Amino acid sequence: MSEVDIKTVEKLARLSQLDFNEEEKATLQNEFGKIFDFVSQLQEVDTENVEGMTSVVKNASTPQRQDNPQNQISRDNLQSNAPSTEMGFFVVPKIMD
Amino acid sequence: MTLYNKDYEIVMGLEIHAQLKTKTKLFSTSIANFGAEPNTQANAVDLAMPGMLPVLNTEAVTSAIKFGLAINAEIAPVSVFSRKNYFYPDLPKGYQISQFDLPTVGKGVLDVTLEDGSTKTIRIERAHLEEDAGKSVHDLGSNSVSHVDLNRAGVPLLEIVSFPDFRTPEEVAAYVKKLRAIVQYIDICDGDMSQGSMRCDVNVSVRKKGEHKLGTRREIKNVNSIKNIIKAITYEANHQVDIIENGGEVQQETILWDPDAGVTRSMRSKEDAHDYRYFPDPDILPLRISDERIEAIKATMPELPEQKKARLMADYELSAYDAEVITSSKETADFYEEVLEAGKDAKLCANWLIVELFAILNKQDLELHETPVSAKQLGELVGLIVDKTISGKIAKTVFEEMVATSKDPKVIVEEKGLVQITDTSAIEPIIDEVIASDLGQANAEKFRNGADRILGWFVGQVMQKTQGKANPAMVNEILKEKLK
Amino acid sequence: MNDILKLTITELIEKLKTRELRSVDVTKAALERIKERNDSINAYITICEETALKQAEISDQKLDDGEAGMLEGVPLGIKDLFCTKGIKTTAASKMLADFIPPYESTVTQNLLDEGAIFLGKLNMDQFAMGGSGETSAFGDTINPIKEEEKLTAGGSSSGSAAALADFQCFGATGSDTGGSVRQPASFTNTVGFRPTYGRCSRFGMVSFASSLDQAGFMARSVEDTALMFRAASGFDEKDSTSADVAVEAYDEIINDLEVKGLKIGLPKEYFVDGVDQKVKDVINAKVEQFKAAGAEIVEISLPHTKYAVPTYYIVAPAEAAANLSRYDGMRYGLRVEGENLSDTYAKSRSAGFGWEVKRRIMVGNYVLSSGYYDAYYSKAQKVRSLLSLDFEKAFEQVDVIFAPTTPELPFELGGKIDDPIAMYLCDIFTVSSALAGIPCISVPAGFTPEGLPVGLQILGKAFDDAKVLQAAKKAEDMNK
Ligand SMILES: [Mg+2]
Ligand SMILES: [Zn+2]
Repeated sequence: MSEVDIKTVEKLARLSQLDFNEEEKATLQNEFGKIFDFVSQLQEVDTENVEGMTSVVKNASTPQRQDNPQNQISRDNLQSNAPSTEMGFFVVPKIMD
Repeated sequence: MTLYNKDYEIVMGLEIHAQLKTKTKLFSTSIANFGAEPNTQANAVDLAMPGMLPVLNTEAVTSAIKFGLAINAEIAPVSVFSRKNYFYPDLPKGYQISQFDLPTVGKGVLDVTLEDGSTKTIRIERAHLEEDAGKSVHDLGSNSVSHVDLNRAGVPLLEIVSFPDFRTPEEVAAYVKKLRAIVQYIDICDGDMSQGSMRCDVNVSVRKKGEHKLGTRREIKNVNSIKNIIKAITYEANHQVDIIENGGEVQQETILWDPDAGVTRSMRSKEDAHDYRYFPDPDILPLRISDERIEAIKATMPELPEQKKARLMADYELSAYDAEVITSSKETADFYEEVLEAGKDAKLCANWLIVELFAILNKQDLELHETPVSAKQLGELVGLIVDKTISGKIAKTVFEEMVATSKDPKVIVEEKGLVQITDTSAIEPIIDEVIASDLGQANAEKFRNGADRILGWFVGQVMQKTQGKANPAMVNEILKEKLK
Repeated sequence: MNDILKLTITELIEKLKTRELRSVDVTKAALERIKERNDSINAYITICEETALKQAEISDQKLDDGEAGMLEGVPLGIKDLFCTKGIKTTAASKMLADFIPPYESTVTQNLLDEGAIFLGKLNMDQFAMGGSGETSAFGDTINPIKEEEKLTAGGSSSGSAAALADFQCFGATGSDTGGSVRQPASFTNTVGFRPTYGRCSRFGMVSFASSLDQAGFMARSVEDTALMFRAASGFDEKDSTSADVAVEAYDEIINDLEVKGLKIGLPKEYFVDGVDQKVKDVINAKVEQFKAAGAEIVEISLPHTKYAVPTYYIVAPAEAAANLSRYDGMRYGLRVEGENLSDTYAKSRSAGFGWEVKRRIMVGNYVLSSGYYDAYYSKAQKVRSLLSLDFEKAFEQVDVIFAPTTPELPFELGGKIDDPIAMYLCDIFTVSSALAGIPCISVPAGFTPEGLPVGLQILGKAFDDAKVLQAAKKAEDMNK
């Protein structure tokens, strides 16, 4: 069985910006074991000289729009769902560099 | 000298973020200008609202292609936008769209001219398109919060990454200047470092001379002027040598230059911050660029600094030094072209610009665009010398007046009656008068007896009597004739 | 229940056009039904009574004025994954519990432009992650078929399927990332169509996995899904993966297919031991009907089928992990104040996301993180190529592929929620086609002896959407 240690679970939680209590971490550790066991089946597949498929749309180039500004929704409307704003800014917890 | 300890050498590489001058953002249609009210130029895409999707700006791609052509780089037929994942309040999506393993612009080169006139070739590894982040303000109101403005979020950047080819801060400075000139010439970036439209990150490491392995590097982020780049590198390199000499080890990290304190400081390291989990952005297809498009852009490429320098030297016989100085920035080159339009004489124009005007700017600590004497005025001044309206000497007087008053040279010449006297009938009586004086007669005698140098005394007298307005060449000629 | 609620969309449109029915009355009847049934079925998260009635009035006027759109006056339900301007859009999460978009998704805008009426926003698995409707932050949806047995209506478009089966709307939008319209359609005896990837704009649809997400259409008849699809699809310059391929009049050409000579592929990997025998029986009977009508049945192989689920459960979480990073409580959505910035992020996200969402974000970040990228993410992308190639080869041989939609029958709520692998395996027959981006549909094929519905899945090659719909129409006709 694929072993995922608690340290890895904790690192992933930091990367994901998620909090878990000890019990949840243990559950995740257990589930990850099963999930990675399961997905590890892919290692059986011979993929030599196979290109990865990053998109369903093949051989097309991404569309490019003209460099023209377009009308947009007002700031008030865009900020109507914001937890906190002030003087047009989004207010967030203190950022410390 | 940069390093106090001569046993070491510095190795540096540069990452320069050039903000592209497009009207709209890289992936959204909001305006990419500066100075607007907070969050008035950030639309739902920039705010990463649910269901919003990126659509690439063609002008940003064109800018990248232009840059690639300017440094003789390969333009990738297929490039890919990836997601660089990290959380930060000025990064609304929680990832930055950037190019990772398949950038649009591949390897290129840039020749830089150093102070001693020698040339060094700097290799550029890649240049890739990416989005800028928003801006956080930390000192607005309450102490416990920050304020986020997303007007800048999504503005297109071209990140230009060099190989670690730099050994001295002067090389770095020369490279930055050259790069700035290029992006200005091809008109993709305004190159203003103080405004942040060109931002430099310098990777600095040191090693014992003769060693081949690179030392551990520290990355100095966002230095905002060439002066500060030199200071920051000098400080940081010596600091690293000190660490090693004291038996320590340099830790790879990101640092900031504090210009007030004159030291580099390490940024508080974020845990796992380096695991960016890059992967191709599934919202964007690969970018394919055809040969036809590249050819079409090639046809519209303006003259580059190198080409302009060669032309100035060939067509106008300017010295390599003058041509280099003139072409070192688009602003200077454009200024020179304008001076030349009215001034006609290329060499004389170059002289007046580089020697006279630059001296004044230096003295008054002004940038070229703040000059008290416009290009047109300077050209007109040179024109007055060329058509013999005034002498070179008078021109200096006029120039001083121009600097002080910003008046047109013709106005000054007229007001002060400084028009050169080129009329023989006006000059002759004055010469006669000088020769007829007591001292004149004595000196004329000496001259005839072979004291050639005494001629200067006669010229001086005539010039004094005409307040310098007599044409010196004519004075000379007539004097020689009359003193025979 | 008012019998007009049992009409199909095409039948309803006829009656609206002749003024035999008025949209306002139909809409009122549907709203009545929803209010009466929502406590027991829980298909709707938000009911839009006021706006729906207003829209209906306008539609009636347009019908009178002869300016009717394709769906003029037809009351639909909208999966709560589509952003609707001024109407709460939650993605069935606490994170967006109070989110009111200031913009409209392209798919819903297209439907509105054709005169559709939105009755409300339909329940679903949270952020479309789940296959039973049980990950919704707004409670489970009950399958109206055998209501007392508390079966799942499938997922993630659980509310869409249940609302249709319970006559609480005439048609519904869904979304299909790995089978999310087809499996619920199969579980509720309704039709669920997933178009070719790129046919419908993803603009304004809350993203789960960008390379897989596609709007889907659900109704009680194939023709109805074809009509909704026609109205909603088309190129959109706001979505870079949108396909610039002409939209056909799918509803009008729905009968233009000869069963005689139609080459139908049966992939042997879809008829293996793990498939419920009762499901197989219903599908086989349907295949026999086609054979009898002159279709040519060809056994084919899609050799990488077994790797589809593992591939999907790497690709989808990876994309989801990044797509859901925007939910950070800074600009919109739930914010739970913490001690500092990082704490606020983690507290907001932990409170805003359910367990399944959190688990997938964690898995996604794992397969993308340094050291694991090549073994998982990169490998999965390659296997995805092979899966796609399987289909390309198959369609060189056959016109369409028939298969069960799911390996099993609707199961009890709570039956699998604690076993992620068991839940993921239910998607075995729906994820391959999603990974390949080809059009596919689940159409009612019949019932087991116990009266549980079974869906026939029909797959076609990319942009052969019309053929898939046409074949489904034949299958539906054979039910009569
Ligand atoms: Mg960088
Ligand atoms: Zn960068």
